[in-house]
Amino acid sequence: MNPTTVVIVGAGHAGVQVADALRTRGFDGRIVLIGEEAEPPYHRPPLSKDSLSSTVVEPLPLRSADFYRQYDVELALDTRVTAIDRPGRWVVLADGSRIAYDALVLALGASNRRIDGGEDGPRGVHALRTLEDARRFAAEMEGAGTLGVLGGGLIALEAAAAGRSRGLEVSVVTRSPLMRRVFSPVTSSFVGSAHESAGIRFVAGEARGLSRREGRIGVVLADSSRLTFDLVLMGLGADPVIGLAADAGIEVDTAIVVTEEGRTSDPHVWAAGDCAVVRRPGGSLHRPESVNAAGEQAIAVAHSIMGVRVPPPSVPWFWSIQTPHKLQLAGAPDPSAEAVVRGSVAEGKFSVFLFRGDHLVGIESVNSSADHVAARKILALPARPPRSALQDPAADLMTFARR
Amino acid sequence: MPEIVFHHADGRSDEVRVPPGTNIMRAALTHGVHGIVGECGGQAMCATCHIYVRPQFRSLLPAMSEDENDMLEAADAPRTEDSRLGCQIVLDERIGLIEVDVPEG
Repeated sequence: MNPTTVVIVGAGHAGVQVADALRTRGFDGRIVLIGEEAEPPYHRPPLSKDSLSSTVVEPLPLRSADFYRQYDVELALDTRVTAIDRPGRWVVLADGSRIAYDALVLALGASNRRIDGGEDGPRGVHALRTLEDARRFAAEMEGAGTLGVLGGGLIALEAAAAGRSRGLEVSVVTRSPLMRRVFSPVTSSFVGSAHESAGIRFVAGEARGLSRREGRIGVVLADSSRLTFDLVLMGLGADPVIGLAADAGIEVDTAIVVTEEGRTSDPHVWAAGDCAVVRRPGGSLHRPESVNAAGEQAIAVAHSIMGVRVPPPSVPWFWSIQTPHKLQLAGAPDPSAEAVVRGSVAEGKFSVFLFRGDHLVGIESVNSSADHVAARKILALPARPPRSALQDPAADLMTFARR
Repeated sequence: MPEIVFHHADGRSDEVRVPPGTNIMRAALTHGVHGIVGECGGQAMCATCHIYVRPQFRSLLPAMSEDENDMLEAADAPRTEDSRLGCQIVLDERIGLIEVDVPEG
């Protein structure tokens, strides 16, 4: 049975893609897309990358303004949902009004982890998620001398590299190997060395709290030592936004638990993107935290709402810009897989083939985007080329991909 | 303001005007031009903004970087001597008009 009103809470990558995919597949009911920010939906990934290269940040829209008219999507911006009334099938807005749904999609995203003293607001203290965050950070970098980046993940390092390229003295405070959840030690150490030779300093430690002193920001580490910076960016990862779902009694774990079709424990409620964790039939939980996964989950949700078969997932992938270096991963992250390098680490242009036994599970590419595109095609093949062929430095990857 | 005409395989076209400094991928996304995706947000990393620049406008274009050249080899649609990545072509005041063909999806 097709629902007549779909309400989508969250207007990021996943939320917008659900609306798009519903209409593209012929859904003719009402679609309401609710977002907390006033800005029409935009791409978030550039906000930690090229958006930071100047003082003025221009958003890249996810869809044109015409899209919402042509696709008849009611866009409710600057609007916050405070509760879900499951028995009545309503969402309740901050102003007390209600919107009825037949199908509800939660695309709530994630919220940045912060440390003590790192709450929103004071000048000099930053985290990156929204356009507003990026605008404030990009503007405050102008004229600042020192930047302390807390954390060694992708976003933290992207922001560190962007800050360094704008001439700031940048220190990265982290305890763990860089990007350890996603990239192999080969790629991780390449990025660390590259950033170090660009003048970024690495401080081994764990930030516990922030304090403001005479216009500067103090960082207290776990060993009680202190560092002081003009600006501090918290790049400490993010937690799924689960409050709305948990309050409504929908099953949550670390995130909102969904099936591969995006169904939650309530038959009228779906979830997609960073707020969701997929429980596979065997019981294992997967939360890829990427734009690509958000889009795929959104498409699955749209199919599921319309009661049609969900298309099989494509090869997962994502990218990071560690200015000036470009990193891409095809396949699910598997940092502990056996890593075979193809290309030249010394010249900063290589790919890392990840094997489990003889089975290729992923390909990391550093400044080798063409390898990456070939990698996505190779990983999508029903039968992957033999390991010996892939390791042959003389072989052209695209010839495998075109088979 | 520079004008871009996007020609589609079915004979339709989209004409858009954008402020100087805008690249062709961003212009397409902002105006909802079908067939141009810009999956990577404009980093020459995905080839989903592949276009064919009509030959009479070729002399207006910036030189092609090694990255762009590599990526065009990996584009879904066939590469020709008119192939470029839209994200790598920034329209400045010198360019009053440019016409491009969008690969057939």
